[in-house]
Amino acid sequence: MIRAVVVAGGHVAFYLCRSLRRRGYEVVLVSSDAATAAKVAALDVTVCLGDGTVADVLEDAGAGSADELIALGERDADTLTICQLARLRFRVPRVLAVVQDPESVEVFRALGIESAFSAVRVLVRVIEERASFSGVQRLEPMADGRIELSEVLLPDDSPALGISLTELPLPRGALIAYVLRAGEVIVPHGGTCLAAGDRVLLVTPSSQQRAALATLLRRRLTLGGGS
Amino acid sequence: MRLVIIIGGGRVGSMLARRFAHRGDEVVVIDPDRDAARRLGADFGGVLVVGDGAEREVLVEANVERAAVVVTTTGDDRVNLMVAQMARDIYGVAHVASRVADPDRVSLFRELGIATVCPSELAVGALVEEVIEEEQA
Repeated sequence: MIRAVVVAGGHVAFYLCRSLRRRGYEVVLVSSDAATAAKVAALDVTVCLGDGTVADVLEDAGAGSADELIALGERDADTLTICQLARLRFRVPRVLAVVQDPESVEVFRALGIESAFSAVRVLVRVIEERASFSGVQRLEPMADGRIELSEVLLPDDSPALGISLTELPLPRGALIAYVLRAGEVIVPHGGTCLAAGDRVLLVTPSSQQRAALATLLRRRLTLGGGS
Repeated sequence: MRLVIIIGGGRVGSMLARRFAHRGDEVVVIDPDRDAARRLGADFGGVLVVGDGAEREVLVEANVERAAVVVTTTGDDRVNLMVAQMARDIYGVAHVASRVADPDRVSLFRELGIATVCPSELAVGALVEEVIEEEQA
C-alpha cells in the first residue's frame, strides 16, 4: 500500500484525504487546523495535529517511511519549507507541492521541488479553453504538460460531422483515442465518421491542441485571443 | 557601491539596514508594512520597498539581480528560507544570510547552503560564557 503524508488544512485537506483513501492509499494527515483534523479522523486516516513546517511533527507523522508527501500550505513559504524538509531530511521519494500563487510553480522548480502545481493555473486554462471553444468538456495536461487530453462534445455545427477520420485535417501527432456514442465506447478507425452528440477523446501534443480542437469545433469569438 | 537588500524591516532588519547604509552601502529594505519607514528613521539614506519579499516581482523591484548581499531578517523562518533560497538559486546573489528564530530549523538552512544566525543560540552561548567566566573569576 502506498503511504502518503498530506500536509494541508481546510476543505481541500478533507477531500484530498478522502479521495486518496478511496483509491487505496494509506493516508496520514498533518494539519494545524483542529476542525479539519476532527473531520478527517472519521475517514480511517491517521491525523497528526500540528505544524507541518516543523521537522519533529513530520517525523511523528511517519515522513521517514512515506512514499509520497503532498504539501498544500496556506502560504507558499510554508509549503516550500515542508517540501524541503521532506526532500532533504526525510528523503521522501515523491514530493508534491500545491502552491497558491501560480508564479510559485517556476520558483519551486528552480529551488529543487520538481512537482509543483497551481490549482489556479489549471482553472484558468480550463476557463480560457472553454471560452474559446464551446464543447470542450474536460482538459487534462499530461506528461509534464507536453501532452493534452481533451474531451469534446461535438455540437450540431461541428466542422467534423459526416467526414471520415482519414479526411479530418487533424494536425500532426493529434489522435482521436475513443468516441463515446449513445453510451457505447467506440475505438475509431480511419473510416469512422463523427456525428453530432459524440463525445470525442482527443490526445494531442500541447502545441497542437488548439489546431486539433479547431478541426472539431467552431471557434468562439474571443477578445485578445492567444494563450 | 554594492547593493544590500534586507528582507524585513523590524527591529533587527532596520538596525542592520542603518548599519550598512552608514558603512556606505546602497541599501534596500523590503517589508509589507509601510510603518517600517518609521523604524528606519527619517535620516535613513536607503530605499523601502513595501511588499512581500517572497514574490519575484517585489525582489525584482528591489533590483535583486544586481544585489551583492541579501539578508533575511523577518520573524518567520519559512519566509526567510524561501527568500534566501530564491536570492541565491534564482538570482545568483553571492552573499545570502538568514536570521533563524527556531534553533531546530538551523540545520535545514545549512542543508540548503544558506548561512544562518540564530539569535537564541547566540544568547544561550553568551549567557553560558558569562556564567562560566563568573565562576572562574
